[in-house]
Amino acid sequence: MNFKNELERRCYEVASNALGSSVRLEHNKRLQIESALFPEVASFKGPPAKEIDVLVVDLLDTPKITVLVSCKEFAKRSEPAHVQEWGAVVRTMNNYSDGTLYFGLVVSSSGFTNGCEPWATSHNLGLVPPLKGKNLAFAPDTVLRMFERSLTALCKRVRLRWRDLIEASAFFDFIYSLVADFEGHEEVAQNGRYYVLPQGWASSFGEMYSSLAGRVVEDLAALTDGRTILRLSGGVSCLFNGSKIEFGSGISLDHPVIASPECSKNFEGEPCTLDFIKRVVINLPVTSAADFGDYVEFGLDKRFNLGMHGKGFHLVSTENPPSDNRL
Amino acid sequence: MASPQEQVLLVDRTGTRIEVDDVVERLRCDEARVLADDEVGLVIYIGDLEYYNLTPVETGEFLAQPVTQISRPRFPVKVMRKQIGARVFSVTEDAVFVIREGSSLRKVRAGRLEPGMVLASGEKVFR
Repeated sequence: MNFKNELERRCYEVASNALGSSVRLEHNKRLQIESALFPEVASFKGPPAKEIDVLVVDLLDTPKITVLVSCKEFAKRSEPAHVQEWGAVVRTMNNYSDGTLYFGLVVSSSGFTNGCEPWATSHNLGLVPPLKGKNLAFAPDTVLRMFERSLTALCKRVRLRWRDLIEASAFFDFIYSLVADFEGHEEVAQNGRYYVLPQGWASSFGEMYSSLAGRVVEDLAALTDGRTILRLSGGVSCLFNGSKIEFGSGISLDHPVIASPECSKNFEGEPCTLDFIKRVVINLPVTSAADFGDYVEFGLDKRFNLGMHGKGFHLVSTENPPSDNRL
Repeated sequence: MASPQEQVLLVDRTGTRIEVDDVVERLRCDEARVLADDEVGLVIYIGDLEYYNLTPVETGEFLAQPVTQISRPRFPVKVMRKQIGARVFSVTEDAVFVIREGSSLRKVRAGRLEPGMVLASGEKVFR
């Protein structure tokens, strides 16, 4: 299959993976009029001579609902003329269709200029990526992820209800609601420190704490690949390698454990064994957490702080006075 | 997205208050309704349940608007307090407002909304 540009190829792959065989690509497609029984086209000798390149995604068979996707790959942001043109295409297809409902979506790898949105809202076209009152640049992979999310959600949405999407700017708003939240996600993903498993999604300190708080410690170990693991009740674990924190369920580790990892106790950092730390912390609930960069510390039962390092653990008592509560 | 979750006043057709958290927990297992549940967040379709979002208006009454979906972004952006007209409310920093600028309209984010600006709806921004 030939593709006009790289964006079109990747959009086709994304759409095919998400929705299967209902996706097709058409180059130099002449606008087809399904019904000629309209006064406006009485003088037409054939379909309009306009040729377009379009990614066609069939969403529903009864009634037939189809999305026409235009993939714009430019060095600069797409301009109102590009959106206008697609608006005219989709409107023509809807005006002269024989029952098929067409929605229009414009995907631009470099984004859109401000003037595009009025045209998109009035023509009821979806824009990917969104315009948010600020010049936001999204990575190409993020734009494709937005496209995938929009198509998948749209496919489900039209099965539930589709009539309310017809009136402008309902379809535009629907697509916007699905892609606008990528901004917050992108900011967090750039830090690349917290990840939730098994999905491997970028996460945050708050989400990590929400997942671990209240669970009791079942085991801890240091692995030979430079990671430490804290196993908690409910099949949840937390992994730390010195720079990345992974947490969640379904973690199976093949790496062997270090028999005698670097462990210390009390504020002075006196050496101790892992077994000593285990004897204290097993069955205690997680009651707080703090990320200190090169190590992560969990408050246990409001009495101890357990630190996870890349190569071992530390444990201190937080009860006062410290001198009377040494471990 | 635009409104922080704690600002959403959801009621059913009888006007009874509905907790958004309860709705999300109840419906998130209904695969047909879950439009998206991924690294960005959760989007649930509720258009057929006849739920309404109440928005306070200047007269002190509430405007009921039908809600078609609930969005739960995993990483909402910063929340800020704004007064527009007589209404003081919280919005996320990325919420978009349309303001009048001379004879044209312009979109600005909540973070860039300044006192004295006038929205397309005619309401003035006070803080």
